[in-house]
Amino acid sequence: MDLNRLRFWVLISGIFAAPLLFFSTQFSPWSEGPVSRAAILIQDISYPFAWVWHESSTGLDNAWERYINLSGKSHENTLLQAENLKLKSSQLNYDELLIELNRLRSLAGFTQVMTDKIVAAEVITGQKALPFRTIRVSKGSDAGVKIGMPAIASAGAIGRVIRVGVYFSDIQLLVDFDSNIDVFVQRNRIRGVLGGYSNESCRLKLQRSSEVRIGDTLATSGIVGSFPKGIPVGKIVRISFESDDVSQLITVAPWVEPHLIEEVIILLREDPELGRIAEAGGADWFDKSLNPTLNEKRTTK
Amino acid sequence: MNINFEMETPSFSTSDDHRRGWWPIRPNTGFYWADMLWLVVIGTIDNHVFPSLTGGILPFSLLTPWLVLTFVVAPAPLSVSALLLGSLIQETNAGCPRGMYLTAYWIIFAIIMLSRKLLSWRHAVPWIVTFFISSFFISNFESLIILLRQDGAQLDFFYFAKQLLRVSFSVIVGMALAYPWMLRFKGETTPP
Repeated sequence: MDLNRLRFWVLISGIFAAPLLFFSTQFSPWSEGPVSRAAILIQDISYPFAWVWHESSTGLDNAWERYINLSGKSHENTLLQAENLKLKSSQLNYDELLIELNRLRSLAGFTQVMTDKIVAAEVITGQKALPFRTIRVSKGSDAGVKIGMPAIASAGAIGRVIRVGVYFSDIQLLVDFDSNIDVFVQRNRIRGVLGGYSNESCRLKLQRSSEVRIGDTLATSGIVGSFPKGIPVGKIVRISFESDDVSQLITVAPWVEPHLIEEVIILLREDPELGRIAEAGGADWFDKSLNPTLNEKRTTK
Repeated sequence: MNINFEMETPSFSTSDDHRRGWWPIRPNTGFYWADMLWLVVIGTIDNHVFPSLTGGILPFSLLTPWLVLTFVVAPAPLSVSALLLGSLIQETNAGCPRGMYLTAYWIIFAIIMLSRKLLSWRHAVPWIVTFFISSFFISNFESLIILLRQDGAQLDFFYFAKQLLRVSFSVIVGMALAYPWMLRFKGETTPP
């Protein structure tokens, strides 16, 4: 067979083989493994370009806001001063309440407080146009960030780290359709798994008998995954009943609006359960579980 | 279908005449490292500059027309390198399933490789159709993945309006990039 004919058939068969191979995979994003590391290296190479753009555009934006666009700043200043006075007075109350809370916690024997180390990072970029919702932040493995670590903001949970470069990390937002997080309803402690649904909302499927209301707040359960317990996630905005009469679909709006995230806090805590599994099954436990023949080959060797 | 397999590889992608005196920001510069560097820069513009300029709402894409033009005018080894690098840039910038863009761009690459000798790239219509179909295919492949992973609630009117804008932008950018090639390629005897 001459070379041109061979190339023709290789291309034709490739057109049909490529989708079959792709659709037979797990549909997970690039994260770990040697090929992933090579792929992430490309991002490490392109990071300086992104960093220069981010710094120069935010620098220009800041200069505009600080030195030129000053109309309305005086009015804003007055409002802020008034707000500051209010906050100062409420701070006095807050200090008192904090002391009282700590005293009550120690009386009740509660010891769980958030003592994790944290890393604050700035959002470099985020694709809002694509349905795959991740954001890139300015801290990576050099700051101790690892895959699976939770990311939060002042208002609540944001998502989980799925990819780490040397100077950047990618965070999969709660609204991404690949995201799943264990949560409970704060009011009555009903548990469920919250999954990403659309660009602005998440979804939770519960039994129809579970009593939930619109406006209920969901928080992380802390039982599965690396999130600590009690971090607010979102509020219930819609409840619809499935036709099977068994389950109800609950739409949840995250407390942190994905398109407004500018800074994130990454909690430097790894998933304790995954740590235990890796300890027992070895570092490549996940690959082994997906490919049992690999495990057999190693045993026979 | 009667395909002439004996047809020569176009001289137009290797000729020195086409490498000099042009606007330097283009695929197939004649230097492998420059082609790869441009691809990284284009990927950065796509994933970092455009989202910050448009508030991330409009999904403009430079990479697809850039890759399509590379597939048409560049030798096969360079096209394969561009295909791998371009798709990995896209995939490691988003939380999309791995292999998604690799598969989509591979199919476009294979079809262009099979048909590039059969079309007259001197005219505008083959370029327009190629850019349109490629962008449309990428957009539809993404939609298909969404449909497979969840229901179609995301695929509303605004989603399709954005995709239409994205395809139109890709065609316009692609035509602007391809214009010098159309001028350079004068004969029908050595079609690319």
